[in-house]
Amino acid sequence: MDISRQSFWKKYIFSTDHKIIGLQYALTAMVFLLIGFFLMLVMRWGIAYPQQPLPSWLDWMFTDIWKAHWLQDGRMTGETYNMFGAMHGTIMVFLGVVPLGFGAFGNYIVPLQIGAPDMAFPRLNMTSYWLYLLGGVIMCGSFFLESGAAKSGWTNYPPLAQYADANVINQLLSGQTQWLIGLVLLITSSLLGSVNVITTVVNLRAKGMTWMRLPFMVWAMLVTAFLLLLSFPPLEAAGIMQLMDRLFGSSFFMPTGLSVNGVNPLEIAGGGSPLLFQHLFWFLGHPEVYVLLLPALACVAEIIPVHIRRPLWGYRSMVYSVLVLGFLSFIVWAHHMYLTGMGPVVSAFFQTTTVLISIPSVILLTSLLLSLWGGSIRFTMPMLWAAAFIPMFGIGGLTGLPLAFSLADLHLHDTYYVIGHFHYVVAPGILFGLVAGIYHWFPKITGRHMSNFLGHLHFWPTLVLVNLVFFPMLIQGLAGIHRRWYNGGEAYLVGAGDGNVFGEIMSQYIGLNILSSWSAWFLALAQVPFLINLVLSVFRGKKVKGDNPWNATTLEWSAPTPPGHGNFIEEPFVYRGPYEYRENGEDDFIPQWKSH
Amino acid sequence: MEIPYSVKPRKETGLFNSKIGIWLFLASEVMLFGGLFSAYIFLRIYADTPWPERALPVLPGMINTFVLIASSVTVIFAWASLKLKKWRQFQFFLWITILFAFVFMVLKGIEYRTKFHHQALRFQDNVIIQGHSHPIALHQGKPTYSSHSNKGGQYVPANNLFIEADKMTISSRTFYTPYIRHILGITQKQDAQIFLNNSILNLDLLHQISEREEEIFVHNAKVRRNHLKNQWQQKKFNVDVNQKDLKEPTDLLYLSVSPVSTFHFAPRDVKKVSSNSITLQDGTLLQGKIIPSIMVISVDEIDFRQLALEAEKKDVSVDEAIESSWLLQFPLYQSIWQSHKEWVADLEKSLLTKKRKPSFKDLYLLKPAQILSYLGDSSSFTIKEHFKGPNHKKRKFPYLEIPQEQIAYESVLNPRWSNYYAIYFALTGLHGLHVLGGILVFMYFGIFGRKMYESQAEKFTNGIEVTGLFWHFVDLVWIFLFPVLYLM
Repeated sequence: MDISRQSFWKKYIFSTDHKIIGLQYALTAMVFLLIGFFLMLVMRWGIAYPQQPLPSWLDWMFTDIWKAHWLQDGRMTGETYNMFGAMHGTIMVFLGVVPLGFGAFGNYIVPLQIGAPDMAFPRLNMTSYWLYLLGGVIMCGSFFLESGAAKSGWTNYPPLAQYADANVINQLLSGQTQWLIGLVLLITSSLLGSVNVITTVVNLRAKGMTWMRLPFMVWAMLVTAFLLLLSFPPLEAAGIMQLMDRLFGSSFFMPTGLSVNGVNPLEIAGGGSPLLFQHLFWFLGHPEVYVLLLPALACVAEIIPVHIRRPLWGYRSMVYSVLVLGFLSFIVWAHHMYLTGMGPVVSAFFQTTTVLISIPSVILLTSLLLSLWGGSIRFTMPMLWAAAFIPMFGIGGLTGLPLAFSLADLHLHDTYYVIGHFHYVVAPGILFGLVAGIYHWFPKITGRHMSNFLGHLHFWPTLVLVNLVFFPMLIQGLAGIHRRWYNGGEAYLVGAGDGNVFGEIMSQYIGLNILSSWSAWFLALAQVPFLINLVLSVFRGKKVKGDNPWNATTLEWSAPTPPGHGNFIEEPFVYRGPYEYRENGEDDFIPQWKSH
Repeated sequence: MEIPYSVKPRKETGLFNSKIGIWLFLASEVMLFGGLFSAYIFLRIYADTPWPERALPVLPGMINTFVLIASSVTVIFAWASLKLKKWRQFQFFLWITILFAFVFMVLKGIEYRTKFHHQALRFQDNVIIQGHSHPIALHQGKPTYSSHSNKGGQYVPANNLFIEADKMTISSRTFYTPYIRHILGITQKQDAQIFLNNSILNLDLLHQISEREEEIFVHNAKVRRNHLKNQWQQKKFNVDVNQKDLKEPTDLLYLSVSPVSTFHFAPRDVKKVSSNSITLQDGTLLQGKIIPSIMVISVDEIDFRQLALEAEKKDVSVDEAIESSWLLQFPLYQSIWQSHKEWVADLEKSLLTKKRKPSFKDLYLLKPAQILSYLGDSSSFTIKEHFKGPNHKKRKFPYLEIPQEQIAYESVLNPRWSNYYAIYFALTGLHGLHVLGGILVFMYFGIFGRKMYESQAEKFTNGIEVTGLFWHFVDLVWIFLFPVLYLM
């Protein structure tokens, strides 16, 4: 099959080439990340200035009709805040970070690193992308419905989720229902993707690529794929059951005799259990955290050896850790549910497993840190991001420890502390890792370098601002400020001054809302150089000399730049492990494909 | 470069790509059905009402089990024939497999259809009955039962709410078009008209009004928003919007119906009922005279278990609670209950020799065969009735006319009725979709397979093997489903 004769549509839109699909994933995911980010920027206005109408630099994306329906005289309403919050979480997790990490890097890099010509099932791969896009469009398309998009958190807990949009007569056209349909499509997409990645890694490795010669990224993606494969289906079951609750009036998740303000607005049989949904949700929800993390960690683990000219410290222990991590992540889910009244025995079990899982996590992070020891660190753009990943993710991980204990969690549950914790994990942690990956592999993908100047203009403000956004949240959370107040807790100020403890606390910490908000808005500005850099460098960037600009050792750098259809010109053969760097000298590395 | 190992297995793993793929896919399927089975266990353990045991017809389920097992065997024969390069034999076994799959789906379809036509109802006093509900006809403004044979007249689905309305209020911004269409349809049938001031209401007019209202709403919101923004800029917060800038909305449309007509609505479309009005879900209000509605059911099962449990909770004698229930004020049902008590006494005696007692179910659940035998019909069920449930046309089940106010909850046996039926439909429905998927793939191989077989025989054989693995999984799921849903 001659690729050059294919039409534009076949080549770039309905492509079965893993690299094109990887890029499709990357671009789509970045668009979704921007949408999710914008929703948050609008929400932050409601938190910082609840009484004030949205300024025109925030509400430019709303049409007059939307403004009339979703804003109250131009102010943020609780309903809209809930809707944006639910969609922010959903978009960021399901449509942004997972597709960017697993979809884009898993698709583009993994087959190259193991020396395969493509994924094992190219057509399934394409289907996977299109299902993802369809699911995303359906979820976000619900903004245009009369009911608006889903509005009960990214966790979609019933009975809240069941009552939301319950007044919509045609349930199929309600935001909540569309959310569930989109979710089922996304799960199907990730199922196809993970089957593909596992099969590719198991069966399509090049000659000589033994298991312990696999780059760490391949291991991480393999574990991620297993997590997706096995943890997503129970949520699909839950999604199907919730769809039945909405469309066919069953009551899987609705207990008997539940009423709101004394009336039961839904005429249903009852007898179900909201806890059942929480179990099924978090059975996915927790492995999902590692689905988010592992691709980013893998990027960092690939970048560090290249840019410090030293092997990865403890490659084997990292591989074993990631396998143990994958296994343990299936038995920690209920630590999200300490406050549901599961009982102390169950809580004790999940506390133990949760503390256990911190061991492999710490081994992974420590290995990365120790790798730096004695290396000759080159602060190239990818390395800057990778270096920042380590302490930032460290803060994210360590702030999680108090949440692992049910006693401390009683105080911290549903406060801004939790928000601060997981945003430290996801934003300056995972996203930093993925951005590092983009800077690192950009030369291979396009044949051009990204601009260093714009890179620095992107990195330093982002590093500072991201901390200014999220660190105040940790402080607020410890003071007990709840995570889902659409007015930033302003309503509680009423009690301040007449000895009301909570009002007093609010009045001390409410000012941090404004700091966080302004930092978030400037953080958005700080991403502009990155977007300019991405677009400009494709056309104007400095051309790459040779196929291996970073002098890296893994197989993807032996392929032509950019790799053509089928990836390698001749069948690659692997002679050695992935990170063979020597001390000093011009020739300080031996690539996997060199026999001597 | 071709993708390696898509046909021949890789030496180290011993597997070709699609075989790994299908095993992984099946692993994920195990988790999917695992999630649903866990839900089943969770729901059954924490159920707060008696769980229906052996409520489904066992015979079709059992036949389906054997049909699926047989199809799993024939699909192996089909694959083996391909390995032996016997195309015609392969075709034979493949189509036999497809035939079996169709038999399965048809039996399943009959089972579903029976459920969707079976009415269940819970009274206010927690007595539960099941049976067939019959359509209602309006005779001189009164809903009455009309027998199967008596076609003609104006039929209305059972359990609808009736109102003889002369006035109506529609919210021009929130009205739901299908409701309005339903209302207009009824007036048309009764040769009546709905008037808005002096013009006759129709959908076009309504949509025009609603567009205008939406414009006014958006306009007003814009004026208020700009006003508030200006105030914030000038740091003044107490000046109201100039009323002249706002447009006057007319949200509610007051309509009259002439001549007075009788409207009927399904309960799910009704938000609120008062003594002289009905409010629909979209806010449409009809005013006039409420006509008490009824439900007519030919009863084939009576379940006192929930009432018994409630009585035990309240420390009331169960027998007394049953005898004072609404249902037992009718002599016919009293005699049925008396016969049942005699039957229980006999059962108790016969079980005494085995040192056992009648179960809770024996005591308080009256099954169709029992009700029939108490009424003197002791002929055994025909084969057809084993598939479709007792025949309500031929057998004389007692009819019951139930006034609306006695009904606490009613539904056909669909996911709405109880969690048992919900999980039953979820599990078997999802399984049925898998069977359907298998049928489609097999038919694709059967119809378009010849060309593939001639060009790439080995790849084609692999395809059959992989689909066969999937088919075995579908069979395996059913082998778990059958005992869990039908026998336990």
